[in-house]
Amino acid sequence: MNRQLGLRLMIGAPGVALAGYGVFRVLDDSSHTNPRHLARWLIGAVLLNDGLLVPTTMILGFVITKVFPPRIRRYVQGALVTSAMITVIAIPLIYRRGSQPAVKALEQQNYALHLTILIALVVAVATLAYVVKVRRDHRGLASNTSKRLPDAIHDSEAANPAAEA
Amino acid sequence: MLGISFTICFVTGLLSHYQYHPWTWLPEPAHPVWGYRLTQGLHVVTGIGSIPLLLVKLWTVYPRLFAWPPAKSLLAALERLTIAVFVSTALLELFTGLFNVLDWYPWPWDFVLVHRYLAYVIFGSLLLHIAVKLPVIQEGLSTPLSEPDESAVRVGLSRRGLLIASAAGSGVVVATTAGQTFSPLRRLAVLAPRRAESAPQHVPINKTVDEAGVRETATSATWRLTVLGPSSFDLTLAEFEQLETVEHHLPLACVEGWSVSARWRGPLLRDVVRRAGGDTDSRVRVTSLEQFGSYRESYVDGPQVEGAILATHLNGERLTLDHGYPVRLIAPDRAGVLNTKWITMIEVLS
Repeated sequence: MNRQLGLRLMIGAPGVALAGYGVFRVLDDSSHTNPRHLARWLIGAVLLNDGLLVPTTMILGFVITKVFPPRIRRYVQGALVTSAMITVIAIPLIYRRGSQPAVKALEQQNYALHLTILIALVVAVATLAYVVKVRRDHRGLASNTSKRLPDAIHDSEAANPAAEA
Repeated sequence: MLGISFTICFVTGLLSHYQYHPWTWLPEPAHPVWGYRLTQGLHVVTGIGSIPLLLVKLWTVYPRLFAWPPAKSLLAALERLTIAVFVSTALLELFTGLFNVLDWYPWPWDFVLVHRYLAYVIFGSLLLHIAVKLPVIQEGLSTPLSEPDESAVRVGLSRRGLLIASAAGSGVVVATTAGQTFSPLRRLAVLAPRRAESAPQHVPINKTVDEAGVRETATSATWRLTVLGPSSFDLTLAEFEQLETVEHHLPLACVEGWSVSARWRGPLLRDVVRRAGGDTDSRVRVTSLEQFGSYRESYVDGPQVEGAILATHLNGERLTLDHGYPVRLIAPDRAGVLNTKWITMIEVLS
């Protein structure tokens, strides 16, 4: 227990010092860092994420649980999580496209089209995974075993004693 | 995962800072020539890949925002404050980093300085957060990642499912952007801000000749290369082009995370410096025709003097105006923007 406390102090104390140094530099160099505006942006970032982005995805998640039956639900959710992650990066690129001279080779791609294709691929993979799952369940029922076939991942985990250690 | 990527970003970020502000007694090395290409490519790819990961992480811990009572003790209140600082600075750091790569600065402060100072705050509060959560982390790592299938079917996406989906999301983002610096993935780079293939002479440009305002002076018949030192001299363009040249492959690696290897031809900086009375241990200042801008001059020190080329040709063709015609600097293991373009003066300082 004591050793753990020592370790925690060893990690935590430099952390406090480093963070404090960063704050000091921001305040010390205020003509370049504009701390007042910076503070507004910092608070704004949290408000946007916690007040808008997350609640929106939560409502969407709630709708999904109402609309989709249990077995397909997890595949819909997985595909949505993956697609949303790609979309977050693509949106600023789509917005900025064409804002720079062509010689810079910067933001010249058709990002909206590329995003559409990527999402289509994600949906295709999720659909395939769902189809495989359905067929496997059917086979499980047909062979008349009351116990469900374990997932491949379960097998590999059971075979890996390191995970228990 | 986020801890690892934040550490990569922090370390490579400090290395990049050192490129711009080295200590004179420990100059930036020249080997490996692709050093900065690797570290800065990693910095930007990891940073971009971290954005969706951070959002998913914050999404999963969202319910804790409403934990009641808000804090059971002063220590717990301090911990929540640290987390608030971490979340806000990390969100701002990652998004402003992405916007910087897109040449987009909609905020009223110096990006480079704030990006560095916030990195100290983020990494510091991350260390503190790890210290606070150490028992939880140890318990988490020693518990196998499985749960009863029944509940997973009932509530939908399991914890493992979420991990797979986030890994896929981050993986796609990394795979489709890394090609702007990692050439084997070039064809996949459909979300990369930069694509070298579409650039003149297959090398992207950060500042065009018109943005620099040097179109006239760079093409003027009165252009001279002035070399100052113990024995100063100057050269007309015709005289400069008579100098003995070499051709080397050197990467151009931008702080914004794109990089490309190219063939550069021109006289060695070393030879010009020696003619002015200096040598490979000299400190050299290279000045552009640009009248303004933070990077109108740069310093070449130590091992980089030996390998630097005063390039007149790029991939077998005469440099275009946007690439720095009539002559630009290219040195090994050097941040892109420090390879000064449209050179007019070279000073041997010591």
